[in-house]
Amino acid sequence: MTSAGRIESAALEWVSRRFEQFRPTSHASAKRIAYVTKAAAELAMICAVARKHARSSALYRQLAERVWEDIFRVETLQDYMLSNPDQVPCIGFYASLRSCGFEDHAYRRRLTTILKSGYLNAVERTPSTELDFAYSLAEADFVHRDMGKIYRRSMLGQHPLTYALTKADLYTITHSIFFTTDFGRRDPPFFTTADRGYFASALPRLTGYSIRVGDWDLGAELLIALAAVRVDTPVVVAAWKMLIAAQKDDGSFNGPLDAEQASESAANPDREWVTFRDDYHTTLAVLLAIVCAPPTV
Amino acid sequence: MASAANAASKRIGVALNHAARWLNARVPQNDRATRALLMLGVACTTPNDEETLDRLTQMITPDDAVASAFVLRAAVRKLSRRSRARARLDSLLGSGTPPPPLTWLRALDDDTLPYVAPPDLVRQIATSITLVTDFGTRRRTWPPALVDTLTFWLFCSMRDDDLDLLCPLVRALSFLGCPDIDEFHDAIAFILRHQREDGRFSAQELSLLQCSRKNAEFDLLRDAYLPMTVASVWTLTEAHD
Repeated sequence: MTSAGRIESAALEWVSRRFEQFRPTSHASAKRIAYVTKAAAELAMICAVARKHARSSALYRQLAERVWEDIFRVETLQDYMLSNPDQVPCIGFYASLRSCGFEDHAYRRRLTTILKSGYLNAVERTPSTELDFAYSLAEADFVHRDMGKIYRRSMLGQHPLTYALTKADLYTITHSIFFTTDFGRRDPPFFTTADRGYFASALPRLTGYSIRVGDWDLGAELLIALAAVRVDTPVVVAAWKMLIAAQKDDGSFNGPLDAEQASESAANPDREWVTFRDDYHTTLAVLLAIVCAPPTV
Repeated sequence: MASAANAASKRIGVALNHAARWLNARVPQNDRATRALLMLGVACTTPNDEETLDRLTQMITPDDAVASAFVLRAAVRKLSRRSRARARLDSLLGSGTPPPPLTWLRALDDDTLPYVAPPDLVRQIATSITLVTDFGTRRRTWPPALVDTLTFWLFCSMRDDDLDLLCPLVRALSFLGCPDIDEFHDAIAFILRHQREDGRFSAQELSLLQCSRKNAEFDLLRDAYLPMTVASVWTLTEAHD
């Protein structure tokens, strides 16, 4: 088995073992329910992207089936999502499962009603969040929006100075690339020569910086971004070597915590939850990187 | 291009003059170790004043740390080999001492080095480039990966607002003869942005303040402002040349 196959299997098994934590209805706190609903939607999205990229592991299909049956089809969760349509990814979650071959006509009708009400269109969003919204609408086969126009207003479209970018800015940048390129499956015609010049100079540096500080989460997202905008750079090989070495024995990857968060996590007695909360996103991000930009090392 | 370079050079000159006033105002007030550092700053801001440099080198003793004399050497390296200041510094530094072995060069073959090297190793590499090139006066062939690696660390230092690590990296690139790199120009602008109203240089002021509150031994002037100002003026002096 290749390096990619080994780390992918171990990470997928970690996700599978932790599946109960991905079920919003297995949690009591409202804050956790919102957090876990987003996590479940992200898991569905990875299964959808793996299917589009023809990733062979059967575990993606099995996970998608479990997310569909045990999470998405639960009526109370659907009520919760459709009552808070701007707080949780009610369209994106549905769109991902639809891309995996599932359809829930009743949910779609309710979603259509909400969309027709105009509420979701009226919500104020940053351009990168709007790209997410537009991507979800297109994936669910609702109305298509002009991604090029939204992209041009985004932070990435302004080619910001790389030294000053915060972690939140970097996520804004990676997500803008994910949605405009459909995770690397599309080369958007609206990317200009200046855009491509910026990608080629900024993204390798930011990837290198992220792995230097041990931020595997952003490191993985930036690897996907590099592949999606077709930037070939030596940092990719080095980053994969380090990511592979960073995988824990249980298959997961440490999430990026600052000193304060790490101290809170160490003191929290709910170990199952803390491990899931801190590491699930990074583990999914590495899986997504394997799907979209598999390592050659 | 030439006018942009002239404008940058002028900005550096103004910054150095401003820093010189801050440094000079503090020279008489401090203990010997601090004074040595201050002198180096003064030397960097007055690199062509042989009389001042001669006076300063007389004040340095071998106990004042070789590192201090080492910095001053940078400021006087353009002076005549026959000058008293130069001779005194050569003697302090042990003229003719062979350069340190470049044990880290082999590590450049590892493509993960830029991402795993701890700050101490980064600093060690920058310092040994200074010694091996004799402050940029001696040429040799380096692996192509070296400049890329130094430039990447420069980028990281700017992202981390780490003036302390950035300065030796800028000097190393300068001694390697690579001032025409975007990051090099960005780093000079970065240093200039970190000069305060009173002429000193500093970074991460909030962290410094917290550190001084938590640790009674920590002296903002001696442990932060002075080393950072001296490092900055030395670096700007090299870039100015």
